[in-house]
Amino acid sequence: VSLTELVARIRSGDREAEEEFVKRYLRGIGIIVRHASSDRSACDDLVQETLRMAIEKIRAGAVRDPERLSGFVASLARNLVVEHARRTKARETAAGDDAGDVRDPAAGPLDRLLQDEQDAIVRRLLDELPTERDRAILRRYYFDEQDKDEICAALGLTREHFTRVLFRARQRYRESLERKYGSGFARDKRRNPIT
Amino acid sequence: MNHAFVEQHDIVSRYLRRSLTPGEVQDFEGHFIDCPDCQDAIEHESDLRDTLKRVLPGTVPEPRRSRHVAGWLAAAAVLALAVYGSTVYLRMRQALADSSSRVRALEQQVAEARARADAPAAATIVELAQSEVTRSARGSADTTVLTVSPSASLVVLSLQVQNADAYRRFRAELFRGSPADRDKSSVWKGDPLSQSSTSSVGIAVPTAVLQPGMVYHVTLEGVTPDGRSLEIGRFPFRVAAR
Repeated sequence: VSLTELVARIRSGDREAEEEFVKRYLRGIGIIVRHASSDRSACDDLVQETLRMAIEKIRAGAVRDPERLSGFVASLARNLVVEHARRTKARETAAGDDAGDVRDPAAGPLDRLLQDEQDAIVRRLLDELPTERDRAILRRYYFDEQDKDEICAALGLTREHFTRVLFRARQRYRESLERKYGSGFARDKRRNPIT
Repeated sequence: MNHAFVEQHDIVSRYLRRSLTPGEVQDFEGHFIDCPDCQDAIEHESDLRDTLKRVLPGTVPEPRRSRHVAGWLAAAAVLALAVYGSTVYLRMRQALADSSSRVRALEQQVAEARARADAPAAATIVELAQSEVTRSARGSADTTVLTVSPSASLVVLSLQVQNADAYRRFRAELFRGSPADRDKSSVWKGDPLSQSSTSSVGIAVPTAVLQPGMVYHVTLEGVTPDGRSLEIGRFPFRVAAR
């Protein structure tokens, strides 16, 4: 369904089009909200609120250029997160209370179990890397958060070699996860918030 | 923004590291919100990044702690000025084959963990004095020897600091090897840290990063109120052989 058609159908009150809209944007909004918000307990509500407001605005004709619908929804999600953070901070200041670490629950037992299994997959992946230098690439990139050029200069690598090691690591990780949990793992995954 | 651009400019990784400009973030979010392939890439990259941070050698994360336990540890570090003691923290172990029963068992262990966390017990506590650095650098054998209880998951090191009040916050890094070694490697970091008293900073180090018989040292930096970062000292110790 094209965005123009989707917007037109929602404007005309087509409920199926609204469902189509929700299916299409739910996951992406979730990623944006979890990436932008430090309040994990509020993420589901913020996603729902984004969907509700977006549909209301489309119905009301606020989306004049349907081809920009995605950008509009993404901005709406981010703005709601910012607004939520501002309100929460104001409430905490008024109450003189720092509720930050209370609000953010620790991982549950299932999360920990999955985390242990993912750890095992990555340990195997690291063991299978052919050289210590390849392990150093992953360490510098993911743990020390150095950028590509910095790592290539420090280890005397070409950008191609760097890209190849990273690509293979990502590929192996994805394949291992999908072998273990099935191909829908990433799509079903809402347990480990994007940070 | 399209896939070629995303790949070429490492956009997914930079998004997760928060190193994109606000304009790039806006463009990328406007793209991936309707792009299942990019959503897959973001979630896999995020997962891989988090998992590697947990498992890469020498990068053991801070243990998860409740507010209550964190408060206790801070108090324990203060008490370490006067008392050497050893106590027990908990460690979860799982050996059940069936996934559902593993989950149930973990849930029960979590409940027990919480109950035990409320008990007055916690970790091996050791006081390290900065002056020992000098002795160690001269090759003296009187470096503090740390005995780690096999059942403890944390060791609290109380780093003795003169004028701790002069710093706004601290950061510590634990290295394998003595301060004089060339091949020392970082095994743990703590940042930011707060002072435990006017003369000490307490750090809680996972025992998993400590190997019996090895020499380690902690470097401690203080950040002054005007934002300058100063090295305060190095605190060597040796882990007793089992």
